[in-house]
Amino acid sequence: MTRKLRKLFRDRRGITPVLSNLLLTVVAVAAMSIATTATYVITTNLKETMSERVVIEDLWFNPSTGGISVYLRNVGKVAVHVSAVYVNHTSQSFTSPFSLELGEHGWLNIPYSWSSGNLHYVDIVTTRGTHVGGYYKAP
Amino acid sequence: MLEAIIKRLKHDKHGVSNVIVIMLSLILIVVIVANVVLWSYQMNQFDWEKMQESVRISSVTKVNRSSWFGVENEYKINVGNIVNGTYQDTKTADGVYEAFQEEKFQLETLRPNAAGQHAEWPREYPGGNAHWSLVGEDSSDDDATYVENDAEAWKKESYNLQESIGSGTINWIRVYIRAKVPASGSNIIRTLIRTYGTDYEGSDLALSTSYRNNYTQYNVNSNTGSAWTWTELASLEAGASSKKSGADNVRLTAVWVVVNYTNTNYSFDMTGTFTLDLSTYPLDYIEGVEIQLRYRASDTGENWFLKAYNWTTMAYSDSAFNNTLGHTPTTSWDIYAVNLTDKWRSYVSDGGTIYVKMQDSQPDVNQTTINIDFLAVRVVINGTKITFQNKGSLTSHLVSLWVDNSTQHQRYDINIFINSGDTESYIRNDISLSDNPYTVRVVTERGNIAVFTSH
Repeated sequence: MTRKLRKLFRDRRGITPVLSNLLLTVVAVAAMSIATTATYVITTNLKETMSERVVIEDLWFNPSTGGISVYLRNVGKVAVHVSAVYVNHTSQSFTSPFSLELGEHGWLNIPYSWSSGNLHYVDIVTTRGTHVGGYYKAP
Repeated sequence: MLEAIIKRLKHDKHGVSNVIVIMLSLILIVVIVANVVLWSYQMNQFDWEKMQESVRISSVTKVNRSSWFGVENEYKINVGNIVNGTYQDTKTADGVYEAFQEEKFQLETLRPNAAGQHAEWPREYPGGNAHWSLVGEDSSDDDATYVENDAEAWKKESYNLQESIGSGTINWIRVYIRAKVPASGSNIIRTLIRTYGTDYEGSDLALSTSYRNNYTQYNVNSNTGSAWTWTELASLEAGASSKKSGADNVRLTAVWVVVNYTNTNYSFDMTGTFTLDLSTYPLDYIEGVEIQLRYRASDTGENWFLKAYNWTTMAYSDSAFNNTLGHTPTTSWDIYAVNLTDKWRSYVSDGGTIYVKMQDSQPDVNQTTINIDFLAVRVVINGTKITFQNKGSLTSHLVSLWVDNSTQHQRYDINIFINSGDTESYIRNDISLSDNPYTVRVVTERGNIAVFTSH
């Protein structure tokens, strides 16, 4: 046994190919892991973006608060997170964070001073880039 | 061929690596594409279904009355006979009727309806209730309600009785008690009557561990020694007396009095059971109750009365009805309707049951035939009826209902499934429409919205 080990250490030509093969294997495994992870991330993001569906059940120009209240329902297959709200293409503040789980619904309040009789373009944007909204005329 | 490929691969090791890398890359690409395609297919199907869905609101109306609730089963004839027809014939006003006939009234049952002189038994179940209310039920509920004596001395219970509606000569009265010893052993109980302010007890009655009806018959009034009179019956109290002599208590679950008499006149008395649909019309939203009768009587000489069972006083009554004078028939089809006014709650049980009694004013010499075409109850509400129509090819699930006006946007949770091609009427008692313009919207689970405007 001792003789065999001694022979292995003396024969330096035999170690190089082993090390190179080992390194190549490690590099290959790492590359495949990265590729698989990237695949998972890409497909998951694609799936989630495709699955997002939100509808506006009601939009109320609330005279008591002076703002706009939007009732949203998540009818898609993933949770929805609202990232931005625009009224007449101008970013508005809202109660943040506003998220809706699958099938969930709730009021999103926008403290925007609307004018009676005017047309307002309301645009609600999710973190995945889905837009929901449209033109609404204030009473 | 295969050997040649293997041989070549063994010689050209670079080629093997290339093949493996290409294969793995292909697998990854296939996984990505398959995932995206499959998910895209699913979502396309979802969007396609959403496009196919077509729900509309065809009408929105105020509702002030519910539909009629007919009798649940055959009427209980207390005095009289059924000549022909069934209770089903009285559920719709269509000229098909159930016929009844008066008869000579000879037996009457009187039950406790108020506290009497004695309520000495120490225990009652459920606790805190008046003793008379625990033993006055129409059909005995045994261990559900009772009074119990665990004292080793004689203890009395006596109760006021319902008012009698009979007339003629009283032959006898029987005081019934339904009692037992709960667990083991034996005990003694006696019936008790109280007349002219004096208590009279029957002979000893042995009890066992199961409920049994026992009675004592009184042919004459124990105080006067003469036949009973109707005046004496009006002030009579009945009950029981006992003491614990064995190992266990004495438990009394029901007391009632049966009156037997001879009557030369004809009378009629029947009761029916009606049940309100509380899932559609919850008690909190009911504002009143109405009873309507369509009938034809052969005799115009006597009035007819509608009464309902008062769950508080445990007796039939028309107290607080909008009409307590009864109705005089004309021998052709007549409609007699009564409203239970704001006291309706006393006449409706917590489960929505209403017992309705129809009776004549008093016995007379004519044997009247009564044809009942319709007898039903309904509730007065202040609600809204919305009719949905599914014109799409898929079943729709409605999840939200909105009623908007200039000052308020009100949302209601709903859970209604409508099959393809179906029409569904939905009544909400908590929605009261105003005379101002309003918009009603319904949202489906798929995200479609149907709108109805009043203007």
